[in-house]
Amino acid sequence: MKAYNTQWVVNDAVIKTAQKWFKQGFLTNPQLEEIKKVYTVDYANPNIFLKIGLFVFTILAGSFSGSILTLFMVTPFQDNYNMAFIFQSFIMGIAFVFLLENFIKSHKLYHSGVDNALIYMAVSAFCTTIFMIFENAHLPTPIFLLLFLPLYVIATIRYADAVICTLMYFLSLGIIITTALEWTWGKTLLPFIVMISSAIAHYFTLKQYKRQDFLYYETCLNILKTLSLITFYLGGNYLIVREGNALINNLSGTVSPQIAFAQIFYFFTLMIPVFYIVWGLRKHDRLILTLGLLTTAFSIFTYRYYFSVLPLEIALTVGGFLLVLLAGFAINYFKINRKGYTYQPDSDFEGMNLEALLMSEVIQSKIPQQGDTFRFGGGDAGGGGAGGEY
Amino acid sequence: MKTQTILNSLQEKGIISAEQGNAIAEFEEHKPFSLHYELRTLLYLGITLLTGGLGVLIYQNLDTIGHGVIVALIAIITLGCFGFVLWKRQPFTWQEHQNPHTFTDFALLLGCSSFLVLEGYLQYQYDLFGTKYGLVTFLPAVLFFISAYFFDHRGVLSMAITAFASWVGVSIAPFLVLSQNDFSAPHFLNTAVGLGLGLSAVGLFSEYKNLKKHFSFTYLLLGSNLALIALLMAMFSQTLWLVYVLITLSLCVGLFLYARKTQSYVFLLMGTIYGYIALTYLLFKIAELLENQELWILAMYYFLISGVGVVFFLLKIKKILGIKE
Repeated sequence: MKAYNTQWVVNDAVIKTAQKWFKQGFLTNPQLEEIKKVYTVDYANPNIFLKIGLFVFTILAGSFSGSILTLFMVTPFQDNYNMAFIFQSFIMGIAFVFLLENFIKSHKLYHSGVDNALIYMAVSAFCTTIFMIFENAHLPTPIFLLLFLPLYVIATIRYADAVICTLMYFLSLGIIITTALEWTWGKTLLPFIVMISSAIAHYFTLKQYKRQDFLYYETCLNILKTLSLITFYLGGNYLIVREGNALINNLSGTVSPQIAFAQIFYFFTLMIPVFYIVWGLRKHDRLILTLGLLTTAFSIFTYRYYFSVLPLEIALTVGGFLLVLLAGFAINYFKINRKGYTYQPDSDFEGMNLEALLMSEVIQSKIPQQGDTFRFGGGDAGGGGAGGEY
Repeated sequence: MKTQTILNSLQEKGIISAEQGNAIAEFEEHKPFSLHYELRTLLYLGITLLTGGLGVLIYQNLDTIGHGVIVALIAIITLGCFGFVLWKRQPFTWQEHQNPHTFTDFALLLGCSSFLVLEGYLQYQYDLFGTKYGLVTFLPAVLFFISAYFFDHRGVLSMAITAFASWVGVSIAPFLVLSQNDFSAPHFLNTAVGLGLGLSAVGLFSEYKNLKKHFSFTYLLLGSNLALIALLMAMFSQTLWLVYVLITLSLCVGLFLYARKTQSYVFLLMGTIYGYIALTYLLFKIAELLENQELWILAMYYFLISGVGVVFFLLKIKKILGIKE
């Protein structure tokens, strides 16, 4: 069922948690050493930048192996390129999976760039095969999409990969939406169908957290949890529903028409973010809280999109002022632990270097331009757009 | 769920006692929920909205307010921020400051940004510096460098480097290097290469001499990124391409050495990617000189084999460079 050694994942989680507890003073140093000895993590775990490099160069090698294979396919399949495509992509898919499984075993890879790249290349190769076979069958969209789903489900179960899992969610949702669009009542009730399917997906995800092997799927489950909450909100968001409605029914015109049950969607747009924030704070769940804040921002945008009570600059000033006031007050208030909430950071933030780099991006636009000279060597190249040759 | 599973496992193996396990479980259940990043984000967002809104408001009402008032206002903000930072300052050290004050970081950033606004305003409205455009960017560069070293602030350091690069005539911010620079001018290429190499050298110097060691990352990342992109552009367009290839390769070796010392993998990745491009370009140039058509079919195999080669190189990198865990 699972491609990777499940013990790696468990041991990894134990060591990370133990290190946190050690920092907080619950474990002694000998205990931590003992834990590190008992729960060995021996898989290749390269640094994130190494992973990027591994990923890029695996894709490079993989795609050129594809083009080399094409050289050999040209002669035997001279008059049937479609067949050549099907045959070649299938062979490549098999080859990638074979390599992947062998690499995982021989090099003890676990989401280390190489295996991610091989998974994506294998899945895309098989997708090409399926697409090429059924290209001319004129199947209805939902059924056509349904053909790809097993591939993603199997890949998710076996490799627990984040990207594949995300695609799987959107593919499933796409199947539901395209099915609903086949009927008139489906079009009318589409927002509710999306919301209900998201709620079901969320419920299913929460149940999976109780599995024995949930650590193996933790990333995937977090992704599914996030996505289902997002689609639940978007399904009920007034802006999405109104504009989506206009789009589906091909209603032209400068302003999209008012929708049925508008009050219900006003209510959803207003209440879902509030609900997320309260829920996140109650459950001490950072993910839901963050989603609550993001959806609040989108709800404000939705409101301003249709009703602009205040001019933008006044709204910005007043809103910004209130936000600074609120945040400043809250930071001051939660400096000490109050009712289970605090401003103290959870763990040491390691993003300082990145914060510094961001400043460089931000400040570039603020530096006064110095006209058309520069110091070393003259010429006239101060700023300006890029040329087209790269 | 997760906590309990791990605690059970640890107790089964006899590493922690039952009481210890209970104490940890108790703590995990009742530990406070940190709102640190959420509140900080809200604060940043609020400041951004407020300044944006106020900026537009002031611009709209310029006639009634008058330039003098605005200049005075910005000047007061700038002076206020720097005053506050000076008041809370710590003694100068070549090491990283321990336990910095919460708001000095923000105040210094705000002070530096509003200094730029003030300067730009004075130049635009009153033509303060006249045609001495260099001074407009040189002045903030000097001020920011002094502030960065004196108050130990990496954000201000990158502002200083950015301002300095602007004085030289180069956009240095990592994501703007490609879009904001005109690499077609040969003078520009050499300027950018020189500046990038210089900044990288400063970064390496501060690392090895232990002078503000934590600044070396910023210097080296901004510098080497600029230098390498400019070198690639030069390689592709100039007649002296071989010189640029060689400089690129030596800079990549330098990055490898730095990465080995500090275990900073960003530079390892940059060294690998740019080094690979330079080497590939060199090989293809040689192949072109040989004028043998057969060689071109080998090119496809080259990418396949070299790609696999780099993958194995990166997988074994720790052994090759002798980096310990």
